[in-house]
Amino acid sequence: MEAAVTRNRSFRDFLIYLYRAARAIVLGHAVTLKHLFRRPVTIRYPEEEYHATPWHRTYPALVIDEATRELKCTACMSCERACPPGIIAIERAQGEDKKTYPGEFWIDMLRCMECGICVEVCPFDALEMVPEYKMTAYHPDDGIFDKERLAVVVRGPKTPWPRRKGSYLEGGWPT
Amino acid sequence: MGGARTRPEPQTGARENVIELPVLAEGSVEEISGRTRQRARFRGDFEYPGDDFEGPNVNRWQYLPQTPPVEDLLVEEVREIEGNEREMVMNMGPQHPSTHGVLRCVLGLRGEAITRCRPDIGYLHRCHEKLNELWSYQGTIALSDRLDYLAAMTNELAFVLAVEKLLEIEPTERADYIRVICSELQRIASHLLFFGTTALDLGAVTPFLHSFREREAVYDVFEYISGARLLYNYMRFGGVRTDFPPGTDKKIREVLDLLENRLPEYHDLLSYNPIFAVRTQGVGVLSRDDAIAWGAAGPVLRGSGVAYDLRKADPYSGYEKFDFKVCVEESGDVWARFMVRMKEIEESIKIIRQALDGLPEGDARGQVPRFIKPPPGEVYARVEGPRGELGCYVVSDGSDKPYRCHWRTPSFHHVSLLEFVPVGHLVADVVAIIGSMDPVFGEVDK
Repeated sequence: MEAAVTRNRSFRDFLIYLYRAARAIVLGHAVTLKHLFRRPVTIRYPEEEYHATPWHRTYPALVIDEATRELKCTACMSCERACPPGIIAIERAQGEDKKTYPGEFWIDMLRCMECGICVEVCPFDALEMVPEYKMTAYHPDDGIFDKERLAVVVRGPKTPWPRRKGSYLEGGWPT
Repeated sequence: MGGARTRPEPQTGARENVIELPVLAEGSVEEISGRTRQRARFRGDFEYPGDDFEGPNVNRWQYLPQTPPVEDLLVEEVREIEGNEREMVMNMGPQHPSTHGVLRCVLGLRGEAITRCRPDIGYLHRCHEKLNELWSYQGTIALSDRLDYLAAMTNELAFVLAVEKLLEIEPTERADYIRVICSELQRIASHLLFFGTTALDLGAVTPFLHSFREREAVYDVFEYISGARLLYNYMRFGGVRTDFPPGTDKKIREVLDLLENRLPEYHDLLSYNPIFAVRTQGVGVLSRDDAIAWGAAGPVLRGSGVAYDLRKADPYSGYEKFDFKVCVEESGDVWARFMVRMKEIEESIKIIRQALDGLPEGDARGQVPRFIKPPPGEVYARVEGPRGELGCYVVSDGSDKPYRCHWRTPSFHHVSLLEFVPVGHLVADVVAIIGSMDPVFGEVDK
């Protein structure tokens, strides 16, 4: 036990060690100096912004059909059943044409684990994961997203998640 | 007690979804509390929902430990040390910044030399294995990310391989290659973090910033592939969630080139630095026999001179097709475990290059239905994670949820090594030893 604690060295060994350490420190500083001539990798947030991949999973949003200006969701409850933490709550409503739609649609974003399973199981492609990562709020109640907060119009390239119909390459890929 | 608080009559029909509490056989709930109540449950005094379940013939409570809990042991030991005039007790953690999370070490000190070390775990316990029983197989993949959150891909792979064994299906060839690429990238990312944090624990701040920069580049690739940076939910039964997006090949090769350029810089900065060598060489020596006897795995085992790698010993996902070395160091100290990991980064780069060159065309997703009900049975699947052998034991009773899911996590075994490895060293060396074991408390405490 004592051997590991006390280290017997002669003065000559100490000088050799000192020389090696000084050399290593100079070498280390040379590596650091190289970075003066390299481009910075940091992003100066909030002046600059990080652009996440378009299919980055942040939160599931309700897709608005651009043609009809209505939610694609038919309140089939697939996502509510599949959600592992069980944080989706839907109240089904029926219109005059007997079509069902979500009267209320809540997602508790404070407990969402962003797995994207709800998007995978949706048979109508009515949910999309959106790459919006700025979701701070002043009150915990603001973390529970309702229908208005969740609704988005998805433009441009679609996310590459597997879909029921056809290949996920249909929507085209961003270059 | 007393008659002041009486149990209210249940109002039928007034409220739905009322959960009925377990009722005591004799006496009332208020009489006993806390631990007594817990013991009563194990004795069978409670009628508990699910007790009459006729599953596989396993008596759940027969293996309950009869020894006092860890906390009591620690208290007794502390008293013993305090009775000894020349010994002193020091608590390291659980909020110590260099214990890699929430590890508490009770150190017995004589002067500054350590006479005993008792690791105390459980501060991050979140009922992971119980949650596995409550969630569907699909959700369990997403949950397994949270075990070892620095190596989410390999956790998913272990679970997916286990369930594929149950279902008796084979993943497609392209999926196998993609899994290999992802788990090797994950190994690189995890070892880079190890490089940075070990240096940080020993007082060198600069390497931490360097390694995190490259780690972010690897995570950029993961974000491009799977849509998330840390917790991917990418593996699926019979394949992966999505095929590689176009341009992934180029992106991965860029990262590999970057790493190959930067690794010599790392060695200049830290690995061959004599100050670092003095702090690590001959410190925390774990002998070959001890490493095997205590169930060490991965870099800790290979640092002690045992050339055991599951990728060679029990190949999965087609690792037998790739040409790579098993990195071994003989000395068994902190330095050896460090160098094994640094060499493994280079080997991983080799494997990824081979896999990218030979990536076959075809379906990567497999044709397995989304909701599965595996046949009843028990399987064990294991993979070589960045920290060692990661095993997953799944028991199925034919329903859509695992009946039991047990994880063999390497960090747990490595934390138990801390009982005897630091003895005789200084307090500052404990930090180096904990760093070299590289425990992640998501998977120690589960």
